[in-house]
Amino acid sequence: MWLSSDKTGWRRRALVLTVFSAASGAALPALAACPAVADAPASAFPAQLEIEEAAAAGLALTFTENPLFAADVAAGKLPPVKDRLPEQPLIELPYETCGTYGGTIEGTSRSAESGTADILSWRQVALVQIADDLVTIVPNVARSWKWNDDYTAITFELRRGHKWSDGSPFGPDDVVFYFDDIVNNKDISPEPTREWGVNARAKKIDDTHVEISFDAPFPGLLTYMATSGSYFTPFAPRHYFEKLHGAYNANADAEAKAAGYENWTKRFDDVWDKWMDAQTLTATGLEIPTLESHVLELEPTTEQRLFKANPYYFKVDSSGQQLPYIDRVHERFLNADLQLLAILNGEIDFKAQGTSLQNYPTMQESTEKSGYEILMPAGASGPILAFNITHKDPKLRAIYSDLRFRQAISHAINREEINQVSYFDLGTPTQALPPALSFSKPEDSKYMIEFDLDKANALLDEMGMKKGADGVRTFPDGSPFTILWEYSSQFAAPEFVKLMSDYFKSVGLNVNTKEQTSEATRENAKSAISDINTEWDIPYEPTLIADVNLYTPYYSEISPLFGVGWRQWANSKGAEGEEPPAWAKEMYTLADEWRTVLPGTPRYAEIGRRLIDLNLENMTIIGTVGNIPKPIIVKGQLHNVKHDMPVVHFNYGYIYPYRPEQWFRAK
Amino acid sequence: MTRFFTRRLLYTLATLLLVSFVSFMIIQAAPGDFAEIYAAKKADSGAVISAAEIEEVRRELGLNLPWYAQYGRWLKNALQGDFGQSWTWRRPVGEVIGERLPLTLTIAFATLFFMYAVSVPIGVYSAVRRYSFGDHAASFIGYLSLAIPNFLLALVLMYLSQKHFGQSVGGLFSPQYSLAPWSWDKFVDLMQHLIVPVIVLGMAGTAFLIRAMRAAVLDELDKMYVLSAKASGLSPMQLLLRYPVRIALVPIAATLGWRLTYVISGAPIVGVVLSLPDMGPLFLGSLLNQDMPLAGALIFLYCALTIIGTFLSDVLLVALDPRIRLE
Repeated sequence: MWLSSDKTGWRRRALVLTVFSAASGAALPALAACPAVADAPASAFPAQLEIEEAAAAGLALTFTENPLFAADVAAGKLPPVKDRLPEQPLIELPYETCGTYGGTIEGTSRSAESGTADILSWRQVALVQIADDLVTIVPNVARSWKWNDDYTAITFELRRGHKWSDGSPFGPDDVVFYFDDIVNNKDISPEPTREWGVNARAKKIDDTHVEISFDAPFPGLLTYMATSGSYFTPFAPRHYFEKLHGAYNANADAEAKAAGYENWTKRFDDVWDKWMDAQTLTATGLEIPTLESHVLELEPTTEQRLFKANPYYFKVDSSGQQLPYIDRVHERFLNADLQLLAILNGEIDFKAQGTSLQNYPTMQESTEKSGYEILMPAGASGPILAFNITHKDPKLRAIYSDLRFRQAISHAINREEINQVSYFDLGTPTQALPPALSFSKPEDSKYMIEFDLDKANALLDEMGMKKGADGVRTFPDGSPFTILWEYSSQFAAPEFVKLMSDYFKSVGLNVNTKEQTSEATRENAKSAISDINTEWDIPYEPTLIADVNLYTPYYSEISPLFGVGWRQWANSKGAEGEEPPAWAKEMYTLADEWRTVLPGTPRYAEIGRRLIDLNLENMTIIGTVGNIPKPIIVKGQLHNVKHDMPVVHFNYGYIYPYRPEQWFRAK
Repeated sequence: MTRFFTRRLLYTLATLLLVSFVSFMIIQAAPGDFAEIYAAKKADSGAVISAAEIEEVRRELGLNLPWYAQYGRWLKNALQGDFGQSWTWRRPVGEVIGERLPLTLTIAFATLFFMYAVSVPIGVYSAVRRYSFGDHAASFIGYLSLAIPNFLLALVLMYLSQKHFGQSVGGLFSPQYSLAPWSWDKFVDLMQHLIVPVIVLGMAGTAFLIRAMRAAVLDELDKMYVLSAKASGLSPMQLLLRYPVRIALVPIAATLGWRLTYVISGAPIVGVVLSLPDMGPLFLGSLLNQDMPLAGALIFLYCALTIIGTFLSDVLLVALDPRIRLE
């Protein structure tokens, strides 16, 4: 089991190391005072050490703290740093060097719950984390974990002496509270959630161990927790929320009424939020303890939020300095245009979310004047489209469900041109395929993407869609054929629709385009009366591990691409909906199995491989341009920023894999 | 007089009620609702949102009720002075607006001050030196500022101040002062940031007032009493300020209320363009998000300020001009 940390293994290696260094004595160069990622001592996980590993590597750690807290410690308001850190802190190796304390990072989001995931990811914690290779799951709040044999239960080891930002102990009770009293409380969560596994529940084993179990195997849980689930943490400060909870406080209802709420659940709903950044929206955010690297310092306004370093944060650098180095994080709420101006003025230290490639040339102009650098990791994949194979209208359905039609479309699209027109030629023409899959082949992304009008025309001719005197194709029976493309700018940019319709017209397909609201688009998609549905992104692998149905028809629950009836059929085991064709049935069977296999195993790759083939062979979704770089702004004074981040995307928890808690400002 | 006031007050209340109803209907008429837009924003950032989560938001906010029930609930609370919680900011509407109201009023009154301080002297000058170069210049600039839409002027000035004066745009403080306690430097920083919005908001109004002031003074200058005062040997400056200007000021002063209304109603657009931390961007955001409680309260407030401005104008006119008789 590659995910579970084998502690006897650690000890053995530790022993070998000690013996080795004792034998070679002075000949061995002493370990640097602050080993960085490049000269990392041996450890079970990359770029981080547990306390035993540090001791084994001969790393002497004296815990020191940010001078920001010195006055409070001297006044007795805060205990000294060694008492604030867990007995088993996580030791993090810096990318460049151990930093110096102080400074504020200037950031910006759009609004209270709009574009805030980036800044949340700077301070975020979760039970586990994904390493910057974007594959390895590494310990974070949890020290280690152990699965049972069929992946229906996992035991986490928490850190002894870990404390919330108010100094209260953090432990298994906080995890149990999250599951028993929030997720499984019918008053607070009337809809059952599957995100932590089917019917997930938690059990305290001892003071540092907690078990989460579910009814169906879910080996993808850790990946989910570390990536697209990192915005939610499956623990909550029990000692704080107990006071608001009807099951623990007999007066909770009365107190809620006094505070102006209908009942305690309304109040709880208001204070607690699944999204971790929504808990810091109001003044109550000042009271809710957290494990994050920075805690809310001032009452948030409609203009800004200010966060201050958490004195109880559980990580230290490799010289024993408590993280984070940065005193404060300042988040200003600005609209998109002003964000750009603020970046150009050099007012922003780091920005990953919401920077559009369209603004790349403009941002490039001011790099020197304003002292920032633009990093270009991979961001989202480009827009995809799908013809409605399960259209309500039988005549249209006959056309759209004909594989030759969809293949013709794929050949009619000039992807190079889209790349030049919309992405400065920085993307890569591609077939619709989740990006950077561990089990895909390079040729998958090139499947039938050649721009070949002859081939497209031949396929359409073969279908019997004859061209009339005006060069416009008809239904095989000779009646006029028109694609009605009703799109909303949320899912497809108008320029994209314009380019695409021109391609369709170039092979004699008549298209009418009409912009409408997102809601209307979704309603039409759900009732299977839209001709074309689009999506602007395909999820990365971790998100598929948690929910592979994003890669089987209907692809999206709230805005299906096609196959609504098929999905109903599969969900109801054939009682409702309409029977899918054999290939779709196979996809559903594979998807069900996928959830039960451990990521990275041969069977996992096999299923993934087959899903790719089924999608490509049936030309289910049609891709355009992928691998679109995402401009990221980093101010020069900011250090320990990983400069070669492979991907920055919501699906990976934005900056969370790249350890922003070790950023520091050069003086 | 009392009857006049009570009647005006009743009209005012009826107008406010009607406005609240109409605005509620207009916001409801837009497709989608807060839950949809909330989900769209989350999905836009890459999150996978399920239909159950959208339903959950609807249930929490009571969006699944029919519109009349929603309106009734809103009105009932509003009449008791409770405008509810803003859904976007998750805080009481009063608190959210309260945060923005002082700056909105600061800008409004600074603009009013600017308009009168600039227009009255120039108007008088233009009238006295009619058809001089200065008069023509003032007229030219005046027509120009009347003709330029203020959002365009805002964009141009914003660009110039960012490009050539290195001033931070958006907001009324540079980032280093936005969290600092009040100090002289912070005050200076605020004043620097106020220049652009005040000019933008006040430009057209100033131009209008210059024309009005000029015409009013000109009317008086030709009157017999001026001629006779001149003949009696009163110094020209003393004469001008003591008689024609004083009389010409009456109608101008009486429009103070309308001017306030004008500034308040122009403010949202300018506020949005310049991203001022006033009620403008808050208002636009609440409409885009269909944040009913906040949008409702803001429309209510804008209307109330407008109606109060008009009411003030009427009162000023009655008070200043004895020729106006009530009944």
